[in-house]
Amino acid sequence: MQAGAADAGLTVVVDATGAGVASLLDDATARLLEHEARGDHPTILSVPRPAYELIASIKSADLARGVPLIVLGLPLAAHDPA
Amino acid sequence: MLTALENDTLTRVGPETPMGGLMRRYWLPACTSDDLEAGGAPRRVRLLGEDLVAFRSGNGETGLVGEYCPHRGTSLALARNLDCALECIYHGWQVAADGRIVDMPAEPEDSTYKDKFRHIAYTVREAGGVVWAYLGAGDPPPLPNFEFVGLAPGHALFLRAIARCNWAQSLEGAIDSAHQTYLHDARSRIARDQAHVERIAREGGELTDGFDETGQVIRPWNDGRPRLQVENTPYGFRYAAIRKPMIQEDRYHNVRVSHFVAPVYVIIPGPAGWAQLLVHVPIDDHNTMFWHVRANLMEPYTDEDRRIHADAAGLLPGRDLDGSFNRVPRRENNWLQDRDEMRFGDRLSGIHGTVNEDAAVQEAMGPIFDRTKEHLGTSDMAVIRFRRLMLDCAAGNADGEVPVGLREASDLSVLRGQDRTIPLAEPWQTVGVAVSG
Repeated sequence: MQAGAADAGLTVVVDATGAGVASLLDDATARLLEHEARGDHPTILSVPRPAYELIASIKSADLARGVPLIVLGLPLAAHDPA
Repeated sequence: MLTALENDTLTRVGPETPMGGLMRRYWLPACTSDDLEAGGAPRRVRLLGEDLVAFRSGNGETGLVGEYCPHRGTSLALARNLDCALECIYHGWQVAADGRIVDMPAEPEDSTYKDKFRHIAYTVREAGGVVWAYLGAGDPPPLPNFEFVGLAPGHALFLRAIARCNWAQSLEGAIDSAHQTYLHDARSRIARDQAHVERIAREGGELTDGFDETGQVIRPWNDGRPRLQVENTPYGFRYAAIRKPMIQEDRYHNVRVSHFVAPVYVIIPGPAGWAQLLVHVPIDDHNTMFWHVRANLMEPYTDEDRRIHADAAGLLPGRDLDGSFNRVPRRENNWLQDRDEMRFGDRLSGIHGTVNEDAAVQEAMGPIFDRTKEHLGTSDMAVIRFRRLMLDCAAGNADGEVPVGLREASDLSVLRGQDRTIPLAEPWQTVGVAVSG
């Protein structure tokens, strides 16, 4: 795990990409709810690096005041598309 | 969370915008049939950022034309309503329902000027007591056959109010079941539901659907963390909030199902014998005409029914609304929130009427909230799906694709929102579909 990885818990990896974040969030929510239904407790959400950077730019004001990058309640991490 | 571009795309509805292009593929309610009197006053209607007037000419033909006279631009809302056209009071130009210029009396007698162009005019049809408008090009799709449309006249009640925010912000409140526990709760409701459950526990009954004396569903739950399910459909999606009941949670779950019907409709659960539809028609980028359609499936509405429902919603003409659907509760008076009511009274929000409660929280965000600043959770799943679906459809429509709801025929008349407590073994998909009676 790369940028933003906070600890070694259960990482949910979402590979959907698009020009914005609407599709990514939808895919991520579906995945998180699948985990929830199984009684899992994800600790990190990992998205493709371009998406991570896009979200980081959207949340730049939060980051500037020390708020961690959190999406759907989970710390965000980046992975490089295979 | 959306990017600034996505938020713009979602909320802007003018003629040259992606979402405006998408909206113009569908029928939208312009006004009610009762709003238009044959030969009576034309009615201003602003739809998708366009200023229009709806009218019923003296011969009964219904029209929806550009508000501003094609001559010098004064409002045709001031026009005389003749047998077959509106006649501008300024210079007498006459505009027919199909946009033809019928007369230009101040022009030379032998002029053919009037035959050389048409005024803006859109296709309208009337069904179910509603004047439906199609602002797109080409042939319109079939009219949406919502359950209320097929009922005899007088069964459907139309409550309307302007929401001072964009259409998506308004609609998202209707696909957000989790807020019900927090925004709309009342001490009397909590006590009533608690008593219902205690009686069942005491007398050994089953947790089946219960209704109070006014037909309102008794909710055997106080679960503020519903488990959500969203399933795409040919018309949009259906959405379930699944909650644990207060007792017998090892045997039952409560399932509340709503249907999002693209582009602006949400079918929500209603009391026994009623169907409910919420409509969020974009007036422009910053304002929405909110329709609350309540249909009595058994019998026509009485005046008392109208008063009771308008009162409960907080949409009582005179008290809550002026004659142009402007709300009395608004930002400037803090939506008339009553702090004593919050502390000691019934409504925990301190705001009278469920629709006013919704309007308050939606308008309080401002006309277009900056969605880069929000922090969504998994409890926002239906909102997230809605945004994706509409953004995908807007992009696809711009690329020539057929959007959701128009790819194949959907029988909307069998869809009803439902709130039921069912055995755990019964899938949530059995709720709110193919309802009859």
